[in-house]
Amino acid sequence: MAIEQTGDARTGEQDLVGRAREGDGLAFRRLVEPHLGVLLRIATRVSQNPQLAEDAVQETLTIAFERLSGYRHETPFRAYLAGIAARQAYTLVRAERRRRKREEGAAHPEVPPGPEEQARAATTARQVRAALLDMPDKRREAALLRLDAGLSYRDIALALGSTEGSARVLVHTALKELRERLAPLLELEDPHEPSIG
Amino acid sequence: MSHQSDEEERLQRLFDATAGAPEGERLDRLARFAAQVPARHVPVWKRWLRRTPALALAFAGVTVLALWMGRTRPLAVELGLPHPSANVVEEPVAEEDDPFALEVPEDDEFMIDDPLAALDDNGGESPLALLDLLAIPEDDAALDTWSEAMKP
Repeated sequence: MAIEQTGDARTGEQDLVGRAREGDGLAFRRLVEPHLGVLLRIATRVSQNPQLAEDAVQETLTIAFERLSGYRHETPFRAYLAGIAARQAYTLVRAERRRRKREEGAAHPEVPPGPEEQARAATTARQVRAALLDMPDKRREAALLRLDAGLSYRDIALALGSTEGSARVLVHTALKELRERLAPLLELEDPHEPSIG
Repeated sequence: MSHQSDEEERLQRLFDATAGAPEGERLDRLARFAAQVPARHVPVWKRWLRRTPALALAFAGVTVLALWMGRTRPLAVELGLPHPSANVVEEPVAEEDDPFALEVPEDDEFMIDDPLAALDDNGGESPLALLDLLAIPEDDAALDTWSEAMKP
């Protein structure tokens, strides 16, 4: 999943960043377009709501542009965007929760019901999401950046503003917690593996 | 991505399976949105002012007032208006009430012409000799006793 950038790609990226800073919309589009899939994946993972996920990506793009003057070239652009998306998606989810609490009435199902297989997939996705949302912020962000954005420890450290060692520990703790929470799903996912009692 | 352990790979597969493929239509929509972001971007201070028109109005009012006050000061001088301190008028004091203006009569019997000579006029003895009364005699036994008693 990870994409290692070549020197030329980085130079092109730097050029696009410079042009986008000057207000070139096309340059900004070309800069972010290769990463939109990852951003949408992170946002959908956290929100489980297509509309909310799209809103979160739009917010991410706006924030990314606003902070572009502070962007440093040693950080891969994917890490820069994914770091914002991981935070922003959760912020929107929290706001949505508060809004729903305020609103009286039946809660709408986040994923529309469908055939049995689709419903099972949706249930699994919800369990994964629930496990993520129960985690502390930094740990959740580390898990999303590792498993959804496919970032290396170094890039996760750059996205989170920490050291590589801290990022490694954070990811390790996050994955351990996820393994414990999602153990039944992991066993289903790989039926050949003997289950550990 | 750097090397993944078996456990991590299993989690990765689970995450991949539950991620769902992003629809092309949504990605296109987001890409079009991205192209518009720089044009939509408004600096933070402008947005802040837009959200608070009353504050912006007050700020503009204070600025105009400050500029106006800055202009009125030299204008007052140009018009020859008196300085505020010009309004302070000293009240005249009657000559007979002014202690410095009183004349001393020539035949004032209490007037001391030469104060230093007056000090010597004490029967030939200086008035400073009275201070000897306060002197402690050298053979003051009571004082010696007291001094001894006070020694630690």
